[in-house]
Amino acid sequence: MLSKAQIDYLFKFCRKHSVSYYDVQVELVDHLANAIESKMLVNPGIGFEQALENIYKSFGNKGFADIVKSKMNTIKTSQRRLMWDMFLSFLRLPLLLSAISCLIAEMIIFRFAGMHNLILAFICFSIITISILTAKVFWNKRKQLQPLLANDFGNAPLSNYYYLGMHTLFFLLNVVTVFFSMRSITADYYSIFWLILLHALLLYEICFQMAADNNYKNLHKQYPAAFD
Amino acid sequence: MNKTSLYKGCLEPIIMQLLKDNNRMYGYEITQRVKELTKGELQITEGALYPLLHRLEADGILEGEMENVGNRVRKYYSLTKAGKKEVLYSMNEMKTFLQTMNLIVNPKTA
Repeated sequence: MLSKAQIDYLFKFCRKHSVSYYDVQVELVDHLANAIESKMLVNPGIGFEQALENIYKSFGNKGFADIVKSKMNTIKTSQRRLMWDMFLSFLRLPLLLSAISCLIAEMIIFRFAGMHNLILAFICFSIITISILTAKVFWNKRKQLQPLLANDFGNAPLSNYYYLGMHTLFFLLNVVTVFFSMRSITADYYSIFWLILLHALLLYEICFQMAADNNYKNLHKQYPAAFD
Repeated sequence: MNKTSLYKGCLEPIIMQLLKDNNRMYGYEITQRVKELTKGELQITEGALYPLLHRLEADGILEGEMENVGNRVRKYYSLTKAGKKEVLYSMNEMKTFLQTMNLIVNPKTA
């Protein structure tokens, strides 16, 4: 069995070869350690570092690159699936009926309440939602000690950048909704199209949040060393 | 012809069958078990094994489970419920493929 110092060396070796994500490193380190132990058992004269170099050569010219790439692709796919599952979980008859009832109730309130108060309430609601979600993203990021590919990747649906992009879009759509409301105040004074679009986006946001929370809990359970 | 490319398409059913027989396995263990069963004829490279394991995991065929082993963490793979169904289909597909190949290679015995 390799020593703690040798295992730490393998983590460093992975980082040196452009594997910066802890969840990818863990699997590679175990593979390398097993292979080194077998090699040293068969050939006791071979040193740890020499055995490591020999094993690394067996990964081919690209080294760990293909493994990292494949992991990125699979994470993208599984995150999209997670989001989609969350979204589908909302499309059940009781939930759909209550959503439609809420929409109708909202339209009635908009018709009878003072427009300026509602616009103000709407903007406040947007700002509070965005602030809470953004704070949550950064809070999760702070608690994480090691970078995890499954929690932080380019344009994957659950990445922090994607989150912030969605929040900005959500805010802009709110502003557009308010603008439309003000323009058509004498006529139908609320565009149903924008209302539905806004709610669809809000649902998307909620799915994001739920999927991200699930993802975070799973990762915390799987890789406690990356968080504590 | 390079025999590795011949085996490449069969890796998925091979890994699934191994996991069906052994309940759960980790990456290095799979490479060694295949080497042992085929008497060294088939050696799965890391570059072929891990992308396949990751894809099967993302497709919901396999699930991963982390476990502390000594001073390191090991990821064990096992078949999901859907994977257990898929392995039967996958093995049947491979048997049909082998029979078809036999028709071409040994037309007289077919």
